[in-house]
Amino acid sequence: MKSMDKPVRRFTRFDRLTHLWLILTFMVLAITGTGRLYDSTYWGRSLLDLFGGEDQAILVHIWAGWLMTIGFGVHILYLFTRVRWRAPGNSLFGPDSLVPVWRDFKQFGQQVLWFFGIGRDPEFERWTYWEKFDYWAVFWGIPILFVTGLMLIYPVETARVVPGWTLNVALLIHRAEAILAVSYIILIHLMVGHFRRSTFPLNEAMFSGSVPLERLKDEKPLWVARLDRLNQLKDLATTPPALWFRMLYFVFGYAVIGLGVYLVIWGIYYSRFVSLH
Amino acid sequence: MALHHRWRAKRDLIRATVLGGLCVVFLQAFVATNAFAVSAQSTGAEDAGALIRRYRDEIQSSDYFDPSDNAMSLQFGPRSTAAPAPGPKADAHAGVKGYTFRRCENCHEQEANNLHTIRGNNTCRQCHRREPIASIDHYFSILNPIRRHAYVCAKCHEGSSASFATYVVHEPVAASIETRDQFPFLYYAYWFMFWLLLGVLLIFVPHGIGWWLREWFVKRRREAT
Repeated sequence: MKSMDKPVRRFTRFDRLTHLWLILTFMVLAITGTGRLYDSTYWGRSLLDLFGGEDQAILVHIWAGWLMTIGFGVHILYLFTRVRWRAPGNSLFGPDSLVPVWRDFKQFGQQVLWFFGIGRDPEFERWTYWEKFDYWAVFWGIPILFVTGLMLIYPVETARVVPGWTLNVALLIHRAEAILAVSYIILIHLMVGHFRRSTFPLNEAMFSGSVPLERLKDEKPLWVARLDRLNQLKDLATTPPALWFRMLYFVFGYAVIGLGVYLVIWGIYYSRFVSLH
Repeated sequence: MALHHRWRAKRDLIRATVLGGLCVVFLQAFVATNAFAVSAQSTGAEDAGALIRRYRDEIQSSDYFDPSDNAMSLQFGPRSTAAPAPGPKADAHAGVKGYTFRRCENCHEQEANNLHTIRGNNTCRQCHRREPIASIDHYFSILNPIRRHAYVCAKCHEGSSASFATYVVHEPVAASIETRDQFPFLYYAYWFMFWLLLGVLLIFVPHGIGWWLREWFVKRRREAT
């Protein structure tokens, strides 16, 4: 009974480290990339000056891109260890997997109806449909940005393999995908994650790795029921995060949110001074 | 008997796959050796083509020509965005009134708005050179596709090939309908990314707002209901 009151572990230390790696590389890429996009404006140059000017900022951008790609590669290797190869069906399409299944589309519809007061909100399993979309948005984004970015780092070499005019297309796709990624992460991922009534002021799950059981029953009742049924709840019971650690990630989280909101607001404001296409 | 028959069918399948694979390899090799013949054809000079075929190894080993520069890689690229001229001119600006007292961007407003100018801080004449400025399809133009990669692009982009030089410096406006004919890849890439961005935001921004409002007005805890 004592273990029932303890917080439940949702993310392993490795998951959280991967996410932290993603946050750090993403923010560096977002600042240097936005500066590059707006480099003909005063604001864009002020962002680039944080890194010592445009030439240095683009080097930082390239290195951060490589680091993000390395993180992505490590994550792919990690995925292979997560699949139970003897019976891949259940581990790929089961409730512990992030692969979208038909139930997610149904729950999306049910959730939208619930916004208008029709019916109940859906009862979620381990992963909700918006968490799955968040995951796959990054999953499609990183390879697109990596391939187009690599083409732009090595334009002369790229032109030996494909016609040189693909660089025009690569630049357009790199920019558009980056604008999509930044606006999605800041307008939707951060706002929905942290500023709903039930999660405000900060959704701590990805930082502390654990969620209080009462809260988890509310957010993901079917998962808790499954863990209870399989008697796995006590395995996932952990200790609540230490106060110093909470303080640390509150400061970090709000720094990232503030920076993101700053980039989006000024990005929208200055967008009329640059020709984005 | 049936088992034996099935095995024979399987063996035939394997044979066909191996033979087919070999055919593909030979076809690839054939296309590769003909890379220069294609570019020779485009100049219309049969003798030059024969010369290149005969001395292909020597030319390729000289490091002077880039084997990736074949006409195939260039012919699907964007077409010129300039208005159709009556013919290539040695001096494209001959007869323009008050030409000496004008700046390039007085007339070529759209052309001045490109990354080489804005980001690279290049002037027009660093690429288009001094007077007279010839039409780029004029045979002696510095920017004629037969030599622009070596004479213009390579000044900054060391090792640039003719393929590299097909990068469109004066990029057309990607969204406009004229671009669909001039540079279809850019046009369709733009509109694909545009609808992707708009679609994601149109679904998830109202979704977030609806959710936010619902949670604001309704206590969500299951125990309470």
